[in-house]
Amino acid sequence: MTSKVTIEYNDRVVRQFMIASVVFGVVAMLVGVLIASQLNYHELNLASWLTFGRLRPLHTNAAIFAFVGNMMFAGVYYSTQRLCKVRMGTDLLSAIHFWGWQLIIVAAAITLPLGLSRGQEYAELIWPINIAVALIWVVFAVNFFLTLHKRNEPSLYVALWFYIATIVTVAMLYIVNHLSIPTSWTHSYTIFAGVQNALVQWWYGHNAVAFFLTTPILGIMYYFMPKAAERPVYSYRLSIVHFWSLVFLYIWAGPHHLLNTALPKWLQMLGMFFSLMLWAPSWGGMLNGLLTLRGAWDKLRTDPVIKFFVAGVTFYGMSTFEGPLLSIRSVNALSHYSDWTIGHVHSGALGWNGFMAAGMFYYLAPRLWKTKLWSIPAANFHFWIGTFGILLYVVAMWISGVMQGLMLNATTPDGTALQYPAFLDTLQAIRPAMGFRIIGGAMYLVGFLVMVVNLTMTILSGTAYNETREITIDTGDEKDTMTWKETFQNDPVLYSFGALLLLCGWWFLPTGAATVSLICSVIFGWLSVVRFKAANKAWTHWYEKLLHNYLPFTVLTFVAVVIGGLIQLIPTVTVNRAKNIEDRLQKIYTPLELAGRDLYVSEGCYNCHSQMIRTMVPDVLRYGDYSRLGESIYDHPFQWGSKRTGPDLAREGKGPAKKSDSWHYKHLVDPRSMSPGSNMPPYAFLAEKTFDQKALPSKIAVMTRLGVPYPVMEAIEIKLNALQQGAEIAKRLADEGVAVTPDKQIVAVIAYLQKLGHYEVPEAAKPGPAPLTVPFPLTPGNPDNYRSAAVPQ
Amino acid sequence: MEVFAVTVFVSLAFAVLFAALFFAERSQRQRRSIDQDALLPLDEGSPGRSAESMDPVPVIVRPSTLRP
Repeated sequence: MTSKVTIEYNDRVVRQFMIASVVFGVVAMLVGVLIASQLNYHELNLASWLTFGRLRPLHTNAAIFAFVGNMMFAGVYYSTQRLCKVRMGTDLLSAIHFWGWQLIIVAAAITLPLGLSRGQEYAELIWPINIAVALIWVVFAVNFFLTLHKRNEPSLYVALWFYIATIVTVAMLYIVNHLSIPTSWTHSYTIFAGVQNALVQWWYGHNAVAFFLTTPILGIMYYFMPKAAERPVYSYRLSIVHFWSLVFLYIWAGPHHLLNTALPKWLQMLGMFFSLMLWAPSWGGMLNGLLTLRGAWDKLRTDPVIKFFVAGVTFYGMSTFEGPLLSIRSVNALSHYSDWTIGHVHSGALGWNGFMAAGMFYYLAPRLWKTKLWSIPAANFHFWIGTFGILLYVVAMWISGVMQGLMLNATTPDGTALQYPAFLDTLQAIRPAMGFRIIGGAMYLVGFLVMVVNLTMTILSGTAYNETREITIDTGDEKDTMTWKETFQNDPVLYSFGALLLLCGWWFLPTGAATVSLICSVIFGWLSVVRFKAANKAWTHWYEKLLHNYLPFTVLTFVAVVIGGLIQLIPTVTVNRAKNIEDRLQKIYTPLELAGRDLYVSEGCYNCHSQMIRTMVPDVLRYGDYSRLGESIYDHPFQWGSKRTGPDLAREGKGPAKKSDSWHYKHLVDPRSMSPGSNMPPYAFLAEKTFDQKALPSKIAVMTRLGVPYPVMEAIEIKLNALQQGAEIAKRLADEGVAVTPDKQIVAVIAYLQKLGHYEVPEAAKPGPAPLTVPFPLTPGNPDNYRSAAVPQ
Repeated sequence: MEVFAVTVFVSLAFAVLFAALFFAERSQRQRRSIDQDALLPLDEGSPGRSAESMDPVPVIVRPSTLRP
C-alpha cells in the first residue's frame, strides 16, 4: 500500500552551514599563509597574540572544525533529508546545532591567540569549550538519529553509514581525549600523562583525520558524486566492503604517530601494519568514486562540479597512499618531525577536503538559491589555480622534508658523528622550499577567494529556496523491526568476532598458546568462507535487513570502531606506571618550573620543538641517549611533539646541550642574537609579564590528584618556593649581566627549560641489558630491552 | 521458410521470457538486489505542489551564455 506526502526540506540550515564554511575557510587559509610566511620571515610575529606558536593551533582548528566541520554539516543535512525522504529531526535542534557550533568557533578564535590552550594538537581548546563541543555534538546526533527514526525510505544508503560512523566515533574520541581536571575557568590538566597521554592523543588525533575529515566526506562523495554524474555509484557491494573495512581498520593506526619512540614495539608494529592494511579500503573507496563516472567522463570538460570531485577523490587516493607509506617505520625515521608530514596532511586537507568542499558548494549554490552558477570560467580558474597551488605546496614540502630529514640523519662515513651537527644549517637549506610553500598556499587561497566571489554573485542573483518534493511512501516496507538477537546472533557477526578474538590471542598469549590461537583463527577463517559459500543468501539477507534498522546498524558500527581502541589503549593506560618507566624516573617540577611549563604549553612551543629523542642513531648522536618513557611520566600533557622546526628539547637542561640562564634569556628575547638565522618568534613580552603565582596551589593540587607525588605544601609555601627559585635564577642572570625580577614569566620558562632532561635512576633498578651511555658501534635503541628493568614503586 | 519460423519462434521465446522475468521482478519486491539501493540518491520523487512552477534542477550555464 502506498501513499503520497509532500515534504519541504530544511535547506535554510544547509545554506547557513555552507556560508559559515566559506567564511571560516577564508580565515583558516589566511592564517595558514600568514604562519607559513612567519617561518621564513620572523618579523611577521608582530605581537604576542600573533606568534606562530599561538596562530598555528588557530589555523589547524579553523581548517578542521570551522571550514571542514561546517562543510560536512551542510553536506550531511542536505543529503540526509533527501536520502531519508523526510525533513530533519526538528528545526530547533538544527538551529541550536548551527549557532552553537559558530559560537564555539568564535570562542576558539578568541582563546587560542590569547594563549589559552590545552597543549595537545587539534585538542587545544580549553575545557569549557570542550564541554560545549560535546553538547553541540550530542544535539547534532539527536537531530540526525531523529531524522533516521522518522525516515520515509526504509533502506539506509551508504552515505548514511559513513555519517553514523562519524557521529558515534567522533563523540567517543573527543570525550576520552579531552578528559581533564580544571585548575581554573580557563585551564585544566589532562588526566593522562606521558606515554598514556601520547597514545590517547594520537588515537584521537589520527582518528580526527579518519572520522572528521574522511568518513563524512566519503559519505558526501557517495551522495554527491552520483548526483553530479547522474548515474549510480560504480559498485554498491564494493561500498559495503569499503565502509566496514575502513571503520574497523582506521582506529588501530594511531600509534604510527609514535614510531621509533620508546613506545612498546608491539604497539608500534600494530600501528604500522594496520596503516598498511588501510591501503586496500582507501583505494577501494577512491576507485568506487572515480568509476562512478563510467560513461560520463565527458562531463569532466564542462562541469566544474565533476572536475572538483574527480580531483578531490584523486587527492584522497594520493594521500591515502602516502599515509601508509609514511607509517612504515624505516620511512618514518626519515619523514617524521619533517615537512614531509606537513605536505601529506595538506594534500589531504586542500586536495581532498578543500576540493570536495568546492565541488559541493558549486553543486549546492544554484540549487539552494534557485539560480544559475554565476561564472563557469571563474570556477575553472579556481580549479586550475587551486590544483597548481596544492601541487606546488606538496612538492615543496616533499623536497623540504626529505632534504631536512636526510641532513638531520646523515652521519660521517664511520657512523660515529653527525655530518650536519648544527640544526640551523638544515633550516637554512629548506628555506627556499618553505618559500615555495607560501606561494603554493597563496595560489590556493586566491582560487578560494575567486570561489567566494562566484558564490556571492550566484547568491545575489537568486533567492533562498527550500526544495519541496512529493514522495511516495510504501507503508508495507519493513523498517526498524530487527531484534538484538537477530543483530548479534548470526553468522557474519559471530564469525567476525570469533576470528578477531583468536587473532588477539595470537598477539597477547604466551608463545605456545599464541601459535595455537593463530592456527585456530586460520581454521576459523576457513570455516567462515565455507559457511559463506553454503549460505551466502542468508548473509546477504541479514545485511539487507540490517540496512533497514538504524539502531542495530549504529551499535555494530560502534562495536567495530571501539574494539581497536580498547585493545590498544587498555594495556598501556591501565598498566602500573612503574612498568612503563624503563630505567629512569622523571624528577617532578618545582612550582616555578610548573609555571614555566604551563607558559611553554600555552605559547605553543610544542608546535616546533619535540621532547622525544627517538631510538635512532642520528637522534641519539644529536640530542643524547633516547628518551625513556619514565622521563615524561608526570607530564600532563605530554610534549613529545610532531614537528621539529627547531631542535628537540628533551635534554635541554642537562648534559652537553645545557646552556646558561643568560643564554636562554637572550635567546627568548631575541632568538637571532644567540642563534643567527633562527626563525623562532621573539618572546620579549615574557620578560615584561609576571607569572601567575595565585594559580600555582590549585595547579599543584590537581597534579597531586592525578598522581604526581608532590610533598604536602601550603599555598603560601608553594608561592614562596616559586619566588625563591625565581630569585636564584634572577641572581644568576644578574651575575651574567641581565637584570630581571624573579616574578617574571621569562624566569619561569628558563627554570622549566633548565629542568628538561633531569631524571632519577630508581634505587631498585636492575641494570638493563642495554648500557646507559652511547654504545659503539652504534645500533638503534630498542625500548623493549628495558621492560625487564621496570621497577615497582 | 525454416529461417522465418526459427526467427519467429526465438523472438517469441525471448519476448515471453522477458515478460515473465519482468513480472517476476515486479511481484517479488523482497528479493530485490542490494545493488538497487545505489539508485537512492537519484530517486528524487516529483516536485512538490508549492514548487510546481519552479525548475528544480538548475541549468548549468554554458560558456557561450556567460555574462561579461
